[in-house]
Amino acid sequence: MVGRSKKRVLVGLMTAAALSVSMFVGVGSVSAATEKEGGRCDKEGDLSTGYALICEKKGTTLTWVNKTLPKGTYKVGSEMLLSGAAAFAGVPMNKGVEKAVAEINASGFLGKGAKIELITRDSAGKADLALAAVNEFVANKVSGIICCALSSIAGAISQVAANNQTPVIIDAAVLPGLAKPPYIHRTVIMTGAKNGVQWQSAQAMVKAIKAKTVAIPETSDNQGMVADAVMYKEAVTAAGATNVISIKTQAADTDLSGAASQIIAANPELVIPAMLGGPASRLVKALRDRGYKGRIVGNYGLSDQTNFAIAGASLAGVVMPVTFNPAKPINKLGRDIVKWWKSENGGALPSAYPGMGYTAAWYLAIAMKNSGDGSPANVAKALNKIGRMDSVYGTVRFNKGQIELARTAKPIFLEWQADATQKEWNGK
Amino acid sequence: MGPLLTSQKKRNENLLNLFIQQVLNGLAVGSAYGMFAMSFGLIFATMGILNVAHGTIATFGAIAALTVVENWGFSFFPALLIAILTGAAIGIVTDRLAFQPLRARANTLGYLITSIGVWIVLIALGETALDHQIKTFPPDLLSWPRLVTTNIYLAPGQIWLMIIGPISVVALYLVLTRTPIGTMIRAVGFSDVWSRISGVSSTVVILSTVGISAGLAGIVGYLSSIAFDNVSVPLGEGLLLKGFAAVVVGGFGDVRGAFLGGIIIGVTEVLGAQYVSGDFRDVITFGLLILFLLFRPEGIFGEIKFGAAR
Repeated sequence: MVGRSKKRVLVGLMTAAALSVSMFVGVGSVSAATEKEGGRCDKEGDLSTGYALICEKKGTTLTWVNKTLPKGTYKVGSEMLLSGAAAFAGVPMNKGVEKAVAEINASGFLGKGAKIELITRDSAGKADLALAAVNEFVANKVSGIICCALSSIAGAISQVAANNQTPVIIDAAVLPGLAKPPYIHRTVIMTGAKNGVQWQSAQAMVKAIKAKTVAIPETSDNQGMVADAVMYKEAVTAAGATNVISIKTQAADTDLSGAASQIIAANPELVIPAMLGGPASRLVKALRDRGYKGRIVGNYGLSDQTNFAIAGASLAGVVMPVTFNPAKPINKLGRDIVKWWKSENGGALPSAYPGMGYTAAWYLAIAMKNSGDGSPANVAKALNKIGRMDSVYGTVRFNKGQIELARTAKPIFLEWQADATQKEWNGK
Repeated sequence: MGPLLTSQKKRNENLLNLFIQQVLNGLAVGSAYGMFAMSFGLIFATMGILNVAHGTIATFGAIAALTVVENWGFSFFPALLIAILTGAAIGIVTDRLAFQPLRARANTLGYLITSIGVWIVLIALGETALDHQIKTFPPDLLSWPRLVTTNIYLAPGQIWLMIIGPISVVALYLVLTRTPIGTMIRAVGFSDVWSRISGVSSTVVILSTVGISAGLAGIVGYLSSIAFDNVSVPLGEGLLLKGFAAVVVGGFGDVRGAFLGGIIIGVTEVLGAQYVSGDFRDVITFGLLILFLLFRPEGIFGEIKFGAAR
């Protein structure tokens, strides 16, 4: 028999668990750089050949360096979202990390007999699991950590690593202000910054359709998405929208019919979800199913092919800004990533995520190589000296630990087509 | 009538339509919570097991149905049958493998810890089966009935939840109150010891209870995944949390109460998101749960004493 008191204890335990759960998303061409070693490398175009991996700041100039690590195995921790609501992003990102590490080890990039041992842990987007992973990495004295795809936990988790003098490369979280050298660096391009590509895409659409009423549904328990929503509101208001409606959803919401009904009742000409790709595509489908005919602008998370598997042709006409256009890569690294991904995935084009993981891993590897010994302290110092590197986005530079495009590039806006392809948006 | 009055009337109509739409949305999601609460509560009431893996069993119902729809072109009703059978099979297999060995020792906390272990295993299997992605059923699987007016829209999946929800309450209530197996299940729930003295086979009761309960979870997973365009592991976790709240609100001892609790939770959270804020959706749900635990812990329909069938 289960007595009343025992039952109450169980109910209490379950309640506590329920409440806690409810409160809670190439650099790689490795040719030797010796021919330029010691020379300057701060001019645009210097890095176009793909071996601009080791372009180090020396005072006000950038100089090529080419150190190596002694023979041995160097551990790198990787906290990934391999399950849970954001696994659609975490899984391809992890494949990008693994590809980079495989290249680094196969090419002897770190030095003769020096290899990376990758320790991957799935946090499922949960803070407790992410914290346990980071503590494990620190205890294992890793050279550095790749982590933190979700803004909701990235700040706290990366700071734990930094407090233990272990460098962290944030691979995807977009919350402003996360990069904090010397230990915390970020290799995701801040598309959500003011005047960034998301800002530009929102403004371009408001102007194109002369939208006055704009709905901005947001995932309100993801700080990165909340920051995006604030940015979108400012952008569309500046572009002429007069009625901006904010709609809150939660990352764990399985039913978006209420939010869709709320949006349709407001009758907006434009909807801009500040949400991760999976929930955003489900919301798009819910809106189209309910007869919404207005325009929708998303973020790069919506560009992943997995979204088409969710929303199908409902996605047609959705516009999203991207920093990496898989249909038209701008350099050899980009073409290599696309070729590799297509060969592994039945010809499907990659989203932005594999390239993000790949870039983060290479960034850390460059610092490890330049650290001389792979110790976390020296890797952190080396990270702070990396001036530029080649990437799938083209040449990038680092400003206070934050990756930036080294050139002023024309923003790329892609538009979903009903046949699951994407084309550059024609601005209408 | 002046243009100002016309405009005011139109605005009031729109507000009323939105209210009706959101109540219907709440009834649909509430039906899912209610059905899940019935299945979850039945196992607890009969066997004393708070099975936290139950939500993932619902997910497996959806995964199995998606598999047969995508690979063998099953239509809606045959796929529903597959969801029921898969849920029941997984429920029975996990009971035999994980819970049956514990019954001799009758450690109630052990059941909970074991169910957490089962949950973790099923989550890993579910993520692998779905390749870590959110999936959806083909749109042509279920195109009827669809309620579309100028102002109201209900998707076929939502309508089926609202149809099958009440049917399942009535059916389960009749099974429990009007059939021999139902009498045995209730008898064990009332007193396991006296039931055995009276010749009730605990094995039959356990297998029947788990089969009915997990089969119903399979139905909920299948219908919810269609209604919400979401075949994923988090779908089951959401059902578990809300279903648990519904059971507390409605009462563990009566399937009607559990279903009503689900409806209350569903409507409250949708209206809360509309008229308060989406930020407080879960706060409202679990606030309701805490209020019931404090002031009416037996739930709306009360409870029976629970027995652990061995």
